Amino acid sequence: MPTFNDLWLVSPSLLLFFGALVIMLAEAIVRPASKSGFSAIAMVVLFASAGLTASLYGSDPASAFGGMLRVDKFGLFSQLICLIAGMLAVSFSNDYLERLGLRVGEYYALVLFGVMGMGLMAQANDLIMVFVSLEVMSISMYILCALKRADPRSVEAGFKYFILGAFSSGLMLYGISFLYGGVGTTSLPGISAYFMGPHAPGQEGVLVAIGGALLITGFGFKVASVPFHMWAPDVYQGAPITVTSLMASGVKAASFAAFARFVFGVVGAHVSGFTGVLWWMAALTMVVGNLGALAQRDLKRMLAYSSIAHAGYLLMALSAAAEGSARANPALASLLYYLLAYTFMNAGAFIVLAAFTRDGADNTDIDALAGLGKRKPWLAAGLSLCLLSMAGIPPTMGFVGKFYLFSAAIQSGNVGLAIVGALAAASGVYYYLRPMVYMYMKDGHAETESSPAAYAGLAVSGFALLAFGLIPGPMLAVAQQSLQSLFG
Amino acid sequence: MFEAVLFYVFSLVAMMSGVGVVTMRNPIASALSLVVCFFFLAADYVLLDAHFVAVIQILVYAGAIMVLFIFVIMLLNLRHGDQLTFEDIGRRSIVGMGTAGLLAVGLFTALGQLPVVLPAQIPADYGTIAYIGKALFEGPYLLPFETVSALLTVAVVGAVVLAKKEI
Repeated sequence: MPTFNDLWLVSPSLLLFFGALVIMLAEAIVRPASKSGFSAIAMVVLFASAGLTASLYGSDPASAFGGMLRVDKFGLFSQLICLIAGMLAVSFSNDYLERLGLRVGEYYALVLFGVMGMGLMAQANDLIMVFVSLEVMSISMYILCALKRADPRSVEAGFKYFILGAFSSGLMLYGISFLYGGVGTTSLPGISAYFMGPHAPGQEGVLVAIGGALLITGFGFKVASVPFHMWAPDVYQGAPITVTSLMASGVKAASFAAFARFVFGVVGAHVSGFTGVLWWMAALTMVVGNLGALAQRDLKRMLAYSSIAHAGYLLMALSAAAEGSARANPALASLLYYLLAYTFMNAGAFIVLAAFTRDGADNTDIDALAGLGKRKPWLAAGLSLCLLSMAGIPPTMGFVGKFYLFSAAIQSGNVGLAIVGALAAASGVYYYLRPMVYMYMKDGHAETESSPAAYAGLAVSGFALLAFGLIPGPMLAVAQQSLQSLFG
Repeated sequence: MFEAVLFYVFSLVAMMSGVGVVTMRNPIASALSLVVCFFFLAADYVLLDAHFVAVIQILVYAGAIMVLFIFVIMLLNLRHGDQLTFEDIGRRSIVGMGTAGLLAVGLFTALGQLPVVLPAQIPADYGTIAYIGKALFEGPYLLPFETVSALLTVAVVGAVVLAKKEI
């Protein structure tokens, strides 16, 4: 039976759940004019949930609900990243949706549900819980993608994401059933213990191989890694910008957290073939993502390919981490740090892009940026900072993150992968710098509109990128510390 | 022994009606073939002591979901000439059969390696509704069960938001 302590351990998610219910109930009774208050409610709920998460961070790691969740520092750190992604997305949602002509309270309810799913997924310690929370997150995202119902692109994005996502969920579930057949349990520590224990070698071979491969496919789809990336550009382009921002960082953080737990529970040192699979996925994702972005003139599409490339860098860390132990693993710590960095730079870039939306339509063509440097120097500076950070240029958080990612990969002996990644990242500098050329060196009259809340979101992102980039020590120490209780 | 024979007979019928779903040209016939498939699967579940799953299979799949399918087919208002045609199926069927063959090889190899791990003792009431109820509400599956309620809420909200005339 669950105890009060169990409820306390899931209180951040519970709060999000009740916040979403309150918004949905209020939606039914409030006048349309006062619906802009929903973004404030959502922000407060997200902030309070982040506070609860942070206060849980200090306590000892514990299992909740009979081992379904493992509330450890790793999961809480990942949950915090998802909450930050949610807060940054909500910060520029209100006026952006207003300009799009979408005035729906359900938007915020779905964002809260989605973030709740992400947080649960980051802490799930059982494949059943991984699957259920992944579905809560994904279905919220499918709906949010299609929210601009009058825009065929948005509907296409939602539909495409839904069909492919349902297919990948099916594969994942199929993989879970194979693993269960081979190992006799769905709990991650249970699976890990099975591999550590005395079992007849090779007996579970095929079942575990098929199950693991199908699960990797499912995770690979969620993080948009090659060869499961084809949906990402269309979906990122079609979805409302705020949703794209949440999708690119929050979904990625949650999926990578669950992926990492899975890698250490199942793949790790036990099943050697999978590290090779991760190696190839990482290499292909970095190359295809960066090369794909080179040709894009639409900034949302460009950022979608860049998000694929970033998934590649993170996969590189995972592939490097899979060969070491879970604790004091520099690759895993750099993964967490980079996820945080990516959340800030991604949200910052999308906040600036959302400022170009007018008369119910997005305008994310690169030509729209022309002249922004003169007309709105702060927006231009914010976007430049985020792009420089994505390119990995000092003194930003992106540089520190990339530095630790690549050095961790080299330390673990993955020199080849690091070389592939460095070459791919170098080619990426071209497309990150091109928008800056448009902003500062081309004449034009960029028309933008931003609310103070959006500026605040941009300022927070920019400040974090610079502050943690100039003084990376403390945040890296926190990321390191987060690993100590993993599978403890 | 008798149960084993029944199991294989039921499975055979389920598989044959499954093939019927894809090969029938009339959509209604396809849908009815699917109903047969669901019923015989449910019979298999009963034989495997999974009573709860069997009942749910009938109630949800053979009942609610099939009604939905047939409604949609009726609403589409197919005329006689609109029956499905199988043009250009040659190449696709090669890919499909290749995938199915690959899966079959994998499954048979996996089956060859069974039994893998079975619990030392299976409780007497295993698979009954009482057992499942305890596992869901008192056992370890409480949290996923409750999270599914959030999942269903999200799905309902989504259906309304996306389908409502005005938002």
